[in-house]
Amino acid sequence: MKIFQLAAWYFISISFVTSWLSHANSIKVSVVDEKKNPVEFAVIYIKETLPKVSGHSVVIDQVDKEFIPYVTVVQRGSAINFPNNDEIRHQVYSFSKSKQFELPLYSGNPSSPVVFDKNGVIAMACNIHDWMKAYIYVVDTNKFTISDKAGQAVLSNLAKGQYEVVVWHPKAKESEQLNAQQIDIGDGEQKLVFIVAQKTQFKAWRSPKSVRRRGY
Amino acid sequence: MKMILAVPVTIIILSTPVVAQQGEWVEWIADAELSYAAIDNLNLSAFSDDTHSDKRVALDGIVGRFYQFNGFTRMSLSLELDVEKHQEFDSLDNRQLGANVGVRHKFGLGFYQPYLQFNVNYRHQEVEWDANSIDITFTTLEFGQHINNQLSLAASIDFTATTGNERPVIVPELASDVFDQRFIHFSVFVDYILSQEWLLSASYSRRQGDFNSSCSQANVAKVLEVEQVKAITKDDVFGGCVYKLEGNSNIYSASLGYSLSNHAGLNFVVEHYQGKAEVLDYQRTSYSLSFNYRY
Repeated sequence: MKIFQLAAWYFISISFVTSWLSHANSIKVSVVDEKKNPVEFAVIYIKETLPKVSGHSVVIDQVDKEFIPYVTVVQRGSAINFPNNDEIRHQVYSFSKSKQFELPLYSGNPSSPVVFDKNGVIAMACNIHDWMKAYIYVVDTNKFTISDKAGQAVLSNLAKGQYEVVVWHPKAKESEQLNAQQIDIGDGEQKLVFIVAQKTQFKAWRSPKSVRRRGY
Repeated sequence: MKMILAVPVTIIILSTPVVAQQGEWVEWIADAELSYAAIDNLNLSAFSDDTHSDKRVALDGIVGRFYQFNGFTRMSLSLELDVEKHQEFDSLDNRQLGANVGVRHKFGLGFYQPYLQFNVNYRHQEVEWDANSIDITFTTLEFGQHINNQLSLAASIDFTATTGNERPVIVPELASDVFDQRFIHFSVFVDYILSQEWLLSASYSRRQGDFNSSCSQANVAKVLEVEQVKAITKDDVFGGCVYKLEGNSNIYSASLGYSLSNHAGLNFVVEHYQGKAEVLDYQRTSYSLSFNYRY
């Protein structure tokens, strides 16, 4: 009887470790532009279709008249809160196809978050401060990340298998809005490099100009 | 003046959404500009043998606050203090203390919505040579819009009135109030973002109305012969006469701004003034470099 108990424990332990190991795999992604400079704020995700989530919330802050962070990625169905941590009021809006919304002039926390239930890019801005601009990217997966200043990002806890890894960036040239690569995940960490050609994108001018003779 | 006030106020009230939210005081205004300028023909003389050039340092400061009526309309109240120090003609050193009220209205939600801005500004300019001190009042109405992510256009009209001190009469049949002037500027402004650090701006202003010019005693007779001089008096700064004319002027300006941060920038400005009365031409060019800080 003891032999059967030991065997059962052995198989349970082995399957647990195997299962854990198979999810410990990851993809290290580097995103660079045509000149090999690191690209920050690239959204990197695994292409798959998961049902939309509910009750998942994320924060996009407003500090010193800027949205923080500049790029946010969420799974479809997520709610985003837009607290205003400036001591002034902001008016946040978006005209994007994936989500049109407006938070009329407010300070502090808006009464309710905004739910994003359609895939795609949402460009948002503030109607009072024209230079304030940020992007939300809504995807059908929970496996996503954003590149840091060094253009680096890691997709972790992936099971073994074949994946399509997609990269999106707000400044990517039209032809490269979505840049995808196939990858077979085995044990350990794998590496991918994405080259995302960048177009110049401008925010409204914020720095002060000459104040002479031009009243507020 | 009532008409000037009535037009923008009516437009703003009519286009403000009916459900206006409660307004409140919002951002503080705290701007400073330190500039150095080289000015040729400071006295705006019409005679090439009679021009004086100079350099000046100026420190301008503005403090105030915005009042946000709703998502589309805001008002600014500010106090302005400017100090100018000339290198050679130190009798033109001056201090200006002024106040400005502005109302800016954006016609809807979105980056490309145009705006209308109305400003009333009063300032007292106290010049080292007190006879040249003046009070300045100007009213500006500006309309502008972002055309795309790089290009913004604006057009404005402003009415300026200046009042000077009592000056001695030197030509009996002419007045001496050379610094009592009325003039209008029609201006267009173009801002073009070259990169997130560099901004190219240009403007053209058509000035109609009074302006003043100085010349040496030797040239006064020539001026009186060909120009419709409205007022003349002695000029203690440049040593000749200063006189008032009515005419049209073209003012061309170009500037290149460099963003040091969200709150600070450097600006290089070139401005060319090209005035014309009956016969004579009055030209001045200035180059200035400034450091600007905005809170």
